[in-house]
Amino acid sequence: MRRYTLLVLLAALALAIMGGTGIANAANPLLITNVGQGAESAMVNVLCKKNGIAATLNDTATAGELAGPDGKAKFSFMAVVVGYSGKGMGAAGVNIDQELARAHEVMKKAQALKLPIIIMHVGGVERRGDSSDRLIKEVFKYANHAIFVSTGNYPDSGALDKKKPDNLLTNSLPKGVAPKIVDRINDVVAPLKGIMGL
Amino acid sequence: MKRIAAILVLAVILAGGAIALAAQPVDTHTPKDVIGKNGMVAAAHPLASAAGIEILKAGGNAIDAAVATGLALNMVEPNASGIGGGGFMVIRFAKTGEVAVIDYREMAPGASTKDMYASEQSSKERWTIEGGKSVGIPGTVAGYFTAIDKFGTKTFKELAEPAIKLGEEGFEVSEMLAGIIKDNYAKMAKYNEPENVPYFDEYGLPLEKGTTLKNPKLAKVFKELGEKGPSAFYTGWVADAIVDSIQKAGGIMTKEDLTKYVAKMRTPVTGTYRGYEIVSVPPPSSGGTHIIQMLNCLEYYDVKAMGHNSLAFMHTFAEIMKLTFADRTAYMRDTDFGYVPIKGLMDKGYAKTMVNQISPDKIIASPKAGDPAKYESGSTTSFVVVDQEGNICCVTQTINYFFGSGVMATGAGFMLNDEMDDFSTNPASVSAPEPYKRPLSSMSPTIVLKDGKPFVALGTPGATRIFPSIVQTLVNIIDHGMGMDEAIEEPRFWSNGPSIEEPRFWSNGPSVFAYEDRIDPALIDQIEKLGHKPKKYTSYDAYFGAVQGILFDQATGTMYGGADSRRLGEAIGF
Repeated sequence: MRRYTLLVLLAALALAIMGGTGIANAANPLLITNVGQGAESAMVNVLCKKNGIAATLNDTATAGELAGPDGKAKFSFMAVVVGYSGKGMGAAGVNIDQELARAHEVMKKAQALKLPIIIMHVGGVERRGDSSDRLIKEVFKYANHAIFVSTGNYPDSGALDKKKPDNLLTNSLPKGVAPKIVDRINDVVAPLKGIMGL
Repeated sequence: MKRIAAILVLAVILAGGAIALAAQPVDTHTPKDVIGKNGMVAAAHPLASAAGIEILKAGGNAIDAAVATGLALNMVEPNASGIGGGGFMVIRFAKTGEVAVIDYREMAPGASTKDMYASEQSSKERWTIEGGKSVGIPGTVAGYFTAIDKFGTKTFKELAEPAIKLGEEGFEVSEMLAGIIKDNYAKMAKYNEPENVPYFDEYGLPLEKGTTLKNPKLAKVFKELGEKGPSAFYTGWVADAIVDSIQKAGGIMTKEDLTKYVAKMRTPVTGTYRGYEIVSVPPPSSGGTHIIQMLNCLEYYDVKAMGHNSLAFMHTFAEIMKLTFADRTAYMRDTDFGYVPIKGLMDKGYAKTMVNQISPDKIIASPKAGDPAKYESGSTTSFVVVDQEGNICCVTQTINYFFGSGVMATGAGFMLNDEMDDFSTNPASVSAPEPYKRPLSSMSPTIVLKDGKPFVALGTPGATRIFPSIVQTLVNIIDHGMGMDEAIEEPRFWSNGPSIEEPRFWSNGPSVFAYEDRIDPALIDQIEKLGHKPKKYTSYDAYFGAVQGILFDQATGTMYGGADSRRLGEAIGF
């Protein structure tokens, strides 16, 4: 009898831990969305697929798509891939103001649902510049976790070794959020798995 | 001794200069005509031009070399054309002066309907642009075999050798190609398993600049085409791969559709401009007809006196473009599916009715289609080949948007077109989709003659910028006396009247005036004051096409090749 009680207690403890980290949504662990409509969200999605991380890619996710009929978050984590692409924005039929309005809404909703937000900036220095920087300054504040490609902390694509990083990405994060910084986009899988407890 | 010392010093200075020059980055935009006497190929990638030259030097004619160039482009410029698409080939035979046009434009699948893209869902999910529903029946293989069988001297197997080598051994990815792969990554990743896309690396990510791109699967298809002929594409495992991939991506094409594809011989459209004879592509391309129509209008002006890209010229030509696009929307379609008043549109009297509507000091706010019937009595690549005999083969072909539908024929290494986007989404339009109809095109490989002899041959990609860009290049040569490459590199502009973001929908709205930012900003301010809506593009923007052309010096028999720095174009002559 004691043995069964112990097993039940252990199972309850495991469920509580999983619920706390979001693993309760094991079928939908990760939503990947996009702010700026660069191609990197699709790249993160492919890396997830190839490395056994079940993910749903929705580049234009809205606040209304985060919760199920029960009002609870449908996902365990939301990865927000940030980087402005004029072509991507054109294809999505949105301008930067509309994109930012959607981003604020979806991230506020995620916070209300206690859905952890992983900010990803994985296009490096190519996803810097006036438009990308504006997105970074407005959305990084929502991060619970962050993963960057290191060259993203440089202000432009000149010879990197001759320029000093401005650390815009790191400095735009809320206090207490320490970014996982990688060299290349294909290195993001390990820190992503680490954040998700996989 | 002093003399020797002076020579040594001079040599050191010269050597230093040479080193300094060599260290300078090459300015690809500086006009540079390539000279040839015996043969020339001007294509959008140097490796493709080299493939054509290899065939010419091996005794092939212009048609042979054009096919070899086209196949090589499928390897090295896979974003723009290939056997998953279609195009047009204009051939002029030196001995007879006759001109043949091969139409290998795609056809709509048999289950197509006029309203297949009319829904909100179609618009939201971009059915005409990406995925299986956007794919038309490819025509390039049928077109190439028609060209070889009727006019070539070598076998497909021989002509495919340079491309097969490129596919098997690979080539270095340029910065431009790397950027295009990245820009189109999302749709390719959406519709294909990453390992089936040769433009992705081992992680499933876009190939980067400086890496090697190989495509052995496409090389294998080319080998089979060489052994079995076009049936290896339109039936068999390649056909299975095409149809399976399209249907998995939501498309409607069947294997029976593939067997129904035919390339067609067409009669070229012809006209004149200041004594030069213009020979180009008829419908289902609108391009050739509209080139002649616009040149007819310009003939009523002293273009040389107006000045190159002057306010007067830019305003006048923008208005001509707007009126021409109004006619294009009203009349142009596949002539196998309805009447098009081609002769009326190309009539000089009809051009006068257009010119009469143009005011020098204000825009036409609502340009309307004219009535040409009264005068009855139109992401791509383009290349030009001339052989030792003087035969000319001028080709424009495409898979439409860069990397087309995003759907690859699984295991076959080529991207399928999204040419269904060139049909109108309006079921009432003359250009609405119908079973086996060819979508309206702007492609217009063009040959210009003077006194019955070749003067210039040229073509360009660029969607609806194609025929306006060709007209601007011709005006640069004929009216302003420029050389081939100089005429190509000059800044361009474009206007079609409706919203630039959705040019298929004719809105009669304010005129957008798209321009390269090398045009004097003060002139752009004045253009805006006339009522145009300027929209700035980069200095050498591929939005305005990428003209490849060859200019003939009739007196010496010398050819001058030009290739557009808006892409990686390069002419090679010998």
